[in-house]
Amino acid sequence: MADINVTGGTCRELTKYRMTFAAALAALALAGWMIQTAYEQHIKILQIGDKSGELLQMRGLTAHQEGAQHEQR
Amino acid sequence: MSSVKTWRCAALSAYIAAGVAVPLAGYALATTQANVNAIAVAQQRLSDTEWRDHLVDDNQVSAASAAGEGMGLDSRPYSPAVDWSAVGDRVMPSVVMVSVIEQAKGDGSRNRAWLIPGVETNLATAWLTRYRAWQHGWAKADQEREWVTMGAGFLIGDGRQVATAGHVISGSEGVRVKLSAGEWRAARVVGVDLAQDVALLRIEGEPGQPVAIAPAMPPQGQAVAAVGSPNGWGFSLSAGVVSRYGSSAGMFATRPMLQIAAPVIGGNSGGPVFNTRGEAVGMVSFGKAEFQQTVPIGRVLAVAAQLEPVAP
Repeated sequence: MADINVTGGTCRELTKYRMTFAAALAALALAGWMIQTAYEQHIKILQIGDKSGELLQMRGLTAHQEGAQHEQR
Repeated sequence: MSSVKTWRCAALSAYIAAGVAVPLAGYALATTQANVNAIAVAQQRLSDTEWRDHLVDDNQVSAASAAGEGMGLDSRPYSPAVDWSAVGDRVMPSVVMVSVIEQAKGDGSRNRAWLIPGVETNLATAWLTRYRAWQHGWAKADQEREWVTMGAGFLIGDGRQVATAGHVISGSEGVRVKLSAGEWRAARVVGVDLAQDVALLRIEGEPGQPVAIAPAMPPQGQAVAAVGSPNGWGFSLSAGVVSRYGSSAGMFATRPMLQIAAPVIGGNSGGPVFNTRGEAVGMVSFGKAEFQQTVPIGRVLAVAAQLEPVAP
């Protein structure tokens, strides 16, 4: 009886850990996709944004923010 | 039991990793999506202002306004036979070619996307930019930068001041100019008014011959010539006529411009436009096909004076 209980408990634990692991892997895959998408968008921001920022400067439509740095807002 | 331990350990590790990765990735994605939206708004704003300015100009233009009505145009007598060779001899000592070395990309902090209202600059953009810099070899490209002649300019004021187009030196790290005798001179940027497309440089060494300034603007149809560096072919002279007076929306802040019809291409920017007496009447800014928008010389001098006020 005791053996059966231990085996059943182990099985449940294994299932729980496997499901947790699978869910975590899925979440990691989602995170990877989000990072990849963010990076692809960021490349466009660097290219199109640079041109658009220059055009705004040329049209006098932006306040002077020279030397804007990467920093937490 | 070891199997349970292994799975427990793996599940816990993956759980912690996912717990860290998902919020970070969400933070990065939310930032970039917000930045994409901000850029789209900026592009819409650019398009709207261009269209609005175009409509205003379209409603106001008339044959009289295009001919420079009310501007007090040059009424001095001009010979119908133009000797551009003599004009070239007279003006060339005042013309310079402007060579620049572009700004280092570095860590991307000088990217002008960060000037757009609403574009976030935070840890996510910093790390994504650094990864882009590493992936694209920005550091190596920065080391391989070379001097490139981007436009022209002309000596004004005390002979050490050089007026040129703002966009010629925009985004550059170093500037030097070539005098008509072929001598390169180091120059420093005194100031740039990009919205009016005027920049002022100051050269080192002996002063040169400042350009003669026309006392009045030439009437429509009068012959004018531009000197510049089309396609890098320095000190090229090309002749044409005054095409019209008016504004042209879309490139810089909409201001009254002197439009000329003359062969002018990339590299002519910042170069002077002369009348047949060899007096400067404008500075090449931008154009389309044969029609070029030039900043009237009076505004060039006024902006230059603002950028470097003369000490009393």
